[in-house]
Amino acid sequence: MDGESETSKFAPVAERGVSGKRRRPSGEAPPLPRKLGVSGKLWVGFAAISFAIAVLVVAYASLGHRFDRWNSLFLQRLIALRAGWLNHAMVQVDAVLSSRWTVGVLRLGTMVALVLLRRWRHLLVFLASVVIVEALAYQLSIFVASPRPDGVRIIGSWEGPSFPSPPVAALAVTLVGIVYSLLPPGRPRSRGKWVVGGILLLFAFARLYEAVDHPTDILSGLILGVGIPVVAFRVFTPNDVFPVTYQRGRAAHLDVSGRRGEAIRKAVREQLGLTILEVKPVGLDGSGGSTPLRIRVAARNEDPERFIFAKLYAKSHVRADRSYKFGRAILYGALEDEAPFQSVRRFVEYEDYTLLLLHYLGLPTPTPYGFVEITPEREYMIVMEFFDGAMEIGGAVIDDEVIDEGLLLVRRLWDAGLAHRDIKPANLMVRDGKLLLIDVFFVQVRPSPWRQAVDLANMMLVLALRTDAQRVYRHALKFFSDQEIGEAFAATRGVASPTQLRAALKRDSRDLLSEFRGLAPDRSPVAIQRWSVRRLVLGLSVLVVSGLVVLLVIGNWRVVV
Amino acid sequence: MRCRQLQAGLVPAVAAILLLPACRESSYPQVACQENSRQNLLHLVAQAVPSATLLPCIERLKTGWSYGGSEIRPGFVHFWLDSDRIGVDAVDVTMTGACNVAGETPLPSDEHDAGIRLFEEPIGQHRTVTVHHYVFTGGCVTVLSSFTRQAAPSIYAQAATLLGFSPRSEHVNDVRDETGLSLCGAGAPPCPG
Repeated sequence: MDGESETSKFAPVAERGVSGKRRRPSGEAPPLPRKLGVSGKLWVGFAAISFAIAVLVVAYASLGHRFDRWNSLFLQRLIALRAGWLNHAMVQVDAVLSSRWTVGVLRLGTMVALVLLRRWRHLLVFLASVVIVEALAYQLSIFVASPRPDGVRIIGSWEGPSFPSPPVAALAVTLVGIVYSLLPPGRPRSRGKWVVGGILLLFAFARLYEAVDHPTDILSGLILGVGIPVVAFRVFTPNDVFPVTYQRGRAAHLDVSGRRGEAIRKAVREQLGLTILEVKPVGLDGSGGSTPLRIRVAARNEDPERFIFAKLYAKSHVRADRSYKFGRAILYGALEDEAPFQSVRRFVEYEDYTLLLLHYLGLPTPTPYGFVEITPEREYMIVMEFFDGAMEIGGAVIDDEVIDEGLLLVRRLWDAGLAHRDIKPANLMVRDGKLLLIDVFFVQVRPSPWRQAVDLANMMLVLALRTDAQRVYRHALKFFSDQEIGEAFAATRGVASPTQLRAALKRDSRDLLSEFRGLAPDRSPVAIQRWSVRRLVLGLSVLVVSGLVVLLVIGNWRVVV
Repeated sequence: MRCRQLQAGLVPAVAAILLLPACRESSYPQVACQENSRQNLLHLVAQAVPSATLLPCIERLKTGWSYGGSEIRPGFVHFWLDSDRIGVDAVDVTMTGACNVAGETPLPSDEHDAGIRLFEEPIGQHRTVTVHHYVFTGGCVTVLSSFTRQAAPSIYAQAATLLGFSPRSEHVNDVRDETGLSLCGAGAPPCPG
């Protein structure tokens, strides 16, 4: 379906706004609606039916007896297949697949893999699914207290009531958890599902063949063991937000192909009136907090075909920001404003505000085009000018003019009562000998003097990486006093510089920081540790909660493995 | 918004679920002699030891006693009772197909008419517990009480009335009448397969 026909399908002509923009009417789905998926809904439905049947069977004994008869009739026909060699094989299959050792090794292996891959969210969902399925299967079996099949000889081993089949539920939740937490979506996961389906089918057949479970026991065990992890993984670790991938790249980056790619096109067309021709992720290495995109848009009115720049934000970025600030609050105290953003909307609104502010002040930053809604309260994309033809400062020619522009930029930020807070090579571009500043998300109005001083030192370090300390220092004296430069280098240590800048300094054979400190007047270092009751309470709370989690895991280890 | 609520609920839900396994034991008596509901586990008990002509069960629980839990698998039935005075697992009942009572003291039994012979392990073997064996056709029930007649006479007297026996034949008949199926084992026609 092409974009135009899709728009016209939803939007009568009278509904169109100016510039081809369109307001989404009440009740219409957003560009990327949240979906549980057909199979997810099916599993929820199956689980509800299964639970209703269990309650009815307990409440109406005659219904239970009818189920017993149907079940036994099925098993009596199945045991007609019994033969010596097959009996042995099926007992072995059941013994291996229902063994707590097998399930325990699989679960432990999965947990170790998820820890090594640092896929914490998948690990939590996996653990929760396992514990929920085990607990539900156990409680339901106690509640229904179904006996083993009557009227046929049982040739396998069993334990406790049969409905729902606990070994089937245990193996199913484990295998499905492995598929959803370790296999990337697409062909690997699809193949994994077939393999798991085959294993579960064989296991179910073996248990029916042995007559240790009724068909309804197996069915309900599968509904619990498959349905719960499928729904849990889809709700809490959706593929497009928490992709399982083994390719290099930061977890914060979202996949912009497929359904999300279509949603981005639709959102930009309807909300900004621009037609997207191409979407390409760019600069992923230098960006950990969002998914930066270079978008080619079609010509419109006087505007030619051109590139625009966009940053896609999802809830995962809000969480990452929250964790980052929480960690900083514990490690350094209230060094800066460590209050986290409460939603993606606030996140993107703030960046939109800083872009507008810097643009208004005439600083060389991208022209803001606003932001679009992809999924309400979950995903937004901020759109701005793309500095076509610009080169990252690390690869550009740095002349005296560029040095002056960089230093003047910091001076103007100071004068406006602002700090950029993320001065690093990836955020400084050069085009036609002019310095440009990008990524203004961290900009703070009325920051601490410490932070403003750090901005100056970081800018001087970036400029010196491509030139030398003496030259940059000499230029800096045009805009800053000796004391101000001394303060900047007294404030800049460790965490004060962005990771990319620290790495670049480490790679450089010179000790630029010491060289600058040698040039500037002596000044005692500015302390970055801030002690407060809040910091102590936070630190202690983290210790206590970690201890409790460890105790809980140890206490319930037997259930999980 | 919906997701935020879900996520907010995730932490306590996981905590609650992590704590759930601590309550793995059932809290209502599922091996009651009088209870004839579908939730009664005596049918499963009969399947576990198909040779047993009698099934151990719990008579009405007196004040201070509660059902602890059960563990049932082929050839082995185990359930236990807790007491507010003695503690958990105050009376531990196990049924197997047979047991060795050589050297034990035969005791007179109220259930003698039902074909049960009662034996007590010599006190010298266990100073703080009492072990009784109820032997009958196709089965043996071992009752381990965490007290002795001398140490807790009133508890001992109460405990003596807690255990009952349900004839397997009654369950065979019930299953046949209700489902038309055979409860495989003693007193029922042989099962196919």
